[in-house]
This record gives sequence, structure tokens and C-alpha cells, in this order.
Amino acid sequence: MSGGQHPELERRYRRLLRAYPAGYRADRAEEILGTMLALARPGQRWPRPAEAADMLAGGLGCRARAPLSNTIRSGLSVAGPLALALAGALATVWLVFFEALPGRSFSFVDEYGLRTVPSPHTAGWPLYLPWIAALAALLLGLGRLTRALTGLAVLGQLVALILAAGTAWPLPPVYVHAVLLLLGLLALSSPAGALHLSAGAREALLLVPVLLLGQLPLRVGYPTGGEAFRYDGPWRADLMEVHLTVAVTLILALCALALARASTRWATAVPLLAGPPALLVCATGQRGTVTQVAAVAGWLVGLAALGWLTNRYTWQPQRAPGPPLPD
Amino acid sequence: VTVIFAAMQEPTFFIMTALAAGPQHGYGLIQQVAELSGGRLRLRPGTLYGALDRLAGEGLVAREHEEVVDGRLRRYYRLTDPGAAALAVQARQLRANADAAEARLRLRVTPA
Repeated sequence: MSGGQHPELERRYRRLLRAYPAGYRADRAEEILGTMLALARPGQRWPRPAEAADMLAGGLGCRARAPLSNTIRSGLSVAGPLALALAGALATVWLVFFEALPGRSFSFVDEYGLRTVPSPHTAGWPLYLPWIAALAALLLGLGRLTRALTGLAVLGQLVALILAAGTAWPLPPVYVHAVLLLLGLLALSSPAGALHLSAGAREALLLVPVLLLGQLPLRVGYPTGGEAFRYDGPWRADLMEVHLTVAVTLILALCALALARASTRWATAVPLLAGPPALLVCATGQRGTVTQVAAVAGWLVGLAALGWLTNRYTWQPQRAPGPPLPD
Repeated sequence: VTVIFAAMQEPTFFIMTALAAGPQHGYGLIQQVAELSGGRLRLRPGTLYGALDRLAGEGLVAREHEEVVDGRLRRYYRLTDPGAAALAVQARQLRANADAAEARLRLRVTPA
């Protein structure tokens, strides 16, 4: 059956072909359409249900596997700077609350007898500085410096994570290092140039530190009864509030950034970014390194699986005969 | 090749078999697969082109040339050398499987 004999059928087939991504259609639509029309019965005016189901399944499968690498890459270009902004803002909050605000050890008596609460300060404060500097560089539009500072921060955090998990050094708890490390890796894995933001994107991104730091005056005046904020202290619930603010801020910034770029890439950025904040909430809600490590491992395995799928199912429009396969 | 063959499903096997004799376009492939499978397999375009994309991605199949017939684009595909090797391995394995099954069936004791 040749084309041109079924104008209505052809139009309906073309409509079905919209199930495929635009890039794929540009290359293959005429070819597939020709095959479909050749298979059509004489006088057929409507696609049969099985044909429609086949096209929809084919199109969805193609969308699921074909442009994934591009989608992930563009998602990372949004997730990267946001992850860094979040890491910088968290580092600032942790530095101010847990390391800089006055804190001292004190003793009290309760039903368990005399107890001493050690000073909340740790030796972790220098670790936060590269993150804050990287955030500043990001907001100033200094792409290369941002990446270099992020690399430095990640390196420091990696060492701190090992020390915090394996030694008795007075360092912040493991979840602090894990979250910052993950956010830093996300930022570093963004495509080249992604950390060099346009003026509009930088303004949108300012939402993260502004909203987070905006609550600092409230926190400083918080009636703590003389006790300082501490990582694992009785102000956990308060901390949780901070972290939830982080999550909300992140979503707001994500939307703002997406709007600033007139892009839908945020949809991909969300799952990429969901890991570290989820870990944060999980870590502050539950004690135990095992939970934290499991959460980190799960997130990494998920990303690795995503990467594998990306490489496995990348659709290539033109491919010459591939390299010889191993026996 | 062994790994690829192990994952080869029946539609893939017949598509590659149809291409073994020479380049073929989509419509022709569907017809040949139906013929080779004794009418059991009737591929639809969505399935066929999905399989061709995957095989092209693995370097087992490549685009050959295009022509326009009755105003419609026809694109021809051919089996690559690695594709032919993978198909040969698959065919040998299927033959060995069939031989093993028949040999075991001959040992089967039929109840009196």
C-alpha cells in the first residue's frame, strides 16, 4: 500500500507518532510512517488499537531511554549550582549556630544524677569556610574559582568524613560531612560552565542564602535557656525546622532558577537534588551512622544506576558499524 | 558476543536473520520476520524500530541507504560483521539446545 492513499489515516498516524521525542521524529517519522502505511489495510481510515498501543509503547520507551543522557546533563546544569548554593548556605548556618555562637560546657542534675554537657564547639569550623567562599564565588559569577573552591571543600569534607567516622576527633557528626560531600559532588559533576551563572540565574539563586540566613536573627534570639545550639543536643527539633526550611528554600530556588532560564530542566534536577536533603532530614530525625551510611549508599547506587541506564540506552541517530565486540 | 547472544530474544533473532541475506527496509523486515517465523511473529513498527535502534546502538546493525518509493522514505538496514558473528553464535547455541532436547526426549520412557 503506498502513501498518499490514506490522507486521514496518515494524519492519524502522524498524531500517534507524537508519542516519540521531537528529535527522534525529525529523523525517523517519515520512515516509520511509510512502514505503517505500507502495512495498512486497503480502505483503512483509523489506526487499529494494537497499532496505537504499539506506537505509544514505542514512543514512551524511546522517551524513557533515548534522550536520557542529555536530560541528565541538562538536569545537572541546574542541580549543580543549586547543590552548591545549598551546601554554602548550610555551611553558613552550621558555622554560625554550632561553631561561632557562644557555647560552653555546663553541668546539671536530673533524675540520673550530675551530668556534664560538653562545649558544643568542634574543630570543624575551618571545613565550612571553602563552602562559603565557593558560594560567594558562585554568586559573583566566577565560574572557575567556584569549581576550584568546591573541589577544595569536597576534599576537606572527604578527609573529615573519614576522621569523623573512624576517630575520636572533635568533629561535627558524620551526617554533616556526608550531606556536604554529596552536594559538592553533585556540583562538581555539573557540565563545564554550569557553575558560571548568568545574572538572572544568580539573582534567582540568591533566594537560597537570603531565606536561610534571614532566619538567623530569630535563631540568635531563641530562648535556649542559656544552652548553646549543638549538633546532637536538645535542639534537634529546632534543627529539623532549619532543615525543612532548607528543603522549601531549595524548591523555591529551583522554580525560580527554572523560570529564569525558561527551562523545564528543573524536572530532572529535582530527583538529583532530592538525595542530600532527604539524607539530612533522615539523619537529623534518626540517630545512628548505619542509617546515614545506608542512605548515602542508596543515593549513590541510584545515581550509578541512572548513569548506567544513560549509557546503556542512549539513542544514537547515526551509528556506523560499532567496534568489534569482545568474544 | 556471548553476552549479547544470551540476551537475544526471538524478535531480535528473526530481525537479524532477515538481515543476514542482505539489506532490508522496515516493511520488508516485518514481512520477512513473519515468513521466517512461520507467521508466529508479526512485528509492529514501534517494536521493530525500537529493536533496530537498540541493535544499531550495539553495533550489530547499521543503516545502509535510503530510497523514496511512491513518495515514501525507505531506509535500508544491514547486518554488520559483529552482528553476523552474534547471530552465528546464537544459531549454534539454539541448534545445540534443540539437539540436547531431542536427545533427552529419545530417552523418555513411554508408559505402556
